[in-house]
Amino acid sequence: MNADHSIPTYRELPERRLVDRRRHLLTAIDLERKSGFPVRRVALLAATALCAVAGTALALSLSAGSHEPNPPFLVRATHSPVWGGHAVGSARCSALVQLAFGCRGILAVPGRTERPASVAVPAADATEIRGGTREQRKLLHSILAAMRGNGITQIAIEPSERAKLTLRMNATAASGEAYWQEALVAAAFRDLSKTTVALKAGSSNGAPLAPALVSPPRARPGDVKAARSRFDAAAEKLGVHLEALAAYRPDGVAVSAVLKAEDPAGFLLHAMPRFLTAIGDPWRDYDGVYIRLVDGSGATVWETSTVVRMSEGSVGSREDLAGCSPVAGFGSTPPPCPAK
Amino acid sequence: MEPEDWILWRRVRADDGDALGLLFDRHANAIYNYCFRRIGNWDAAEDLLSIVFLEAWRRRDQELPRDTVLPWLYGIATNVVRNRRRSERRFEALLRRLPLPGPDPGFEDLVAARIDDESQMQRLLALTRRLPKRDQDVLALCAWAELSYEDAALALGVPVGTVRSRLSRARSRLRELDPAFGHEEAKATALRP
Repeated sequence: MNADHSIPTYRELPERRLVDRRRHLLTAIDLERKSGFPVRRVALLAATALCAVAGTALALSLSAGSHEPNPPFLVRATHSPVWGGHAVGSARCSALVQLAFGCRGILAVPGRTERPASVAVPAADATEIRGGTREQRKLLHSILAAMRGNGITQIAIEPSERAKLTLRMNATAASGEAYWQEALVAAAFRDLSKTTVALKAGSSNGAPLAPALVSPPRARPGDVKAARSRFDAAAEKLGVHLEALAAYRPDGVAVSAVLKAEDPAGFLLHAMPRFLTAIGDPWRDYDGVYIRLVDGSGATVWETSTVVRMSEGSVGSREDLAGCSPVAGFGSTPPPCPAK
Repeated sequence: MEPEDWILWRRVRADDGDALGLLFDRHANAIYNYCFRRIGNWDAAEDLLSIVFLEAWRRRDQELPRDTVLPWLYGIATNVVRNRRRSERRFEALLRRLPLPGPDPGFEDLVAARIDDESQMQRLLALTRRLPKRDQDVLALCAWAELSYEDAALALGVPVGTVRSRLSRARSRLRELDPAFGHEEAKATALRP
């Protein structure tokens, strides 16, 4: 051996990256300082809940949408039943969240002005599945078949260093809804195959999913129909315009809904809490729920999702409407809601 | 005048996150480069940098005498690097919540150079990995991070004499493995500018 053993040049992180890292560090310690719990005990819980943020943030930041100047879209994690909370609650930081993590630590998508794209529906059976065993591919096909209309275009089953296997997924659009669908599929696959799974989708960079729940929300016959009915009934009761509704059964029941409102601020403040109450408990009655609100022009102004098996929840909002959101997210105190 | 590290650390111990931010501003690049030199990957080094400072925050009950904050951070970095996979799991939430790097022209220009660095560092690490881990730590701290024996001892929690003997043993062994080793030291760039 006679190689050059000199040490590479000292390099500084670009100023912008350094600022990002610093801000991120301060946000993280702010969360921890206010937690009131031993940090290490809650770290895993936080990880499972907060990964939704990263995924959705990536999805949103990558989304191909209009380039009209819009207020930034902010995405935050919500709390999950892992630590006993409910995603649907007060617009203000709930006492439980305040106690557990504090209501700070906003994760904004800096400079984002695009609207999140909706998920285009690929042709039936369009998802290409590569790698893995025949049984694994078969299982994925069966999960996807129960999610007809999903936007997932490709799944590659790959070896993983940190789990039994990695699922790498692509979708027709990089959006919060697509990431929600990918997470549903990955979690159902993990539970039904009884294996450990890592996910590469959105910004999930191959980290293993959280351990399976002791009692995953499996669907019983009739549950899908009942879930649809709950959404329809809730919309009808509140006079809400339901733009789109899709019910999936990856293993449990998952529902995706798009609502439209001409006055999104007022709607979020007054009608959405009642709608969310009327559809049941997203953490108990479903495998996952995704709800998107669009304004009169069809632009997304707010969205929330839960993936119960992964203890993930997220809420995203146009910045100026964050104070109207009925779903509490981790983050700094939002601006006041413009609606009364 | 900027407050000294140990003053800032005293504020950190009193739960002042901004003081940790100041320490981060002051030492982030040194720790970043040290992490790179231990693992040979700039991106991963950036993640480890975040982990080191969050770990420091989590250990803020630790009392640190004057002039020991930076060596102590190197000590944390050494442990984080050593337990890299476990650290990444423990700090997964932190890493996954990082803002996405956007386009940065100045940064893009460095991509090729960074790749060269990584190849160069991997070659060096391939050689040093043939040493016992504790000798690798001493070599990295003393030769690559240019810590004094005393500071390296503090970082590793071992007596100064142990640092000296491990470093001497590491250098001898490396020269056995490759007689060219050590001749480039004059070319090497100091970790701290």
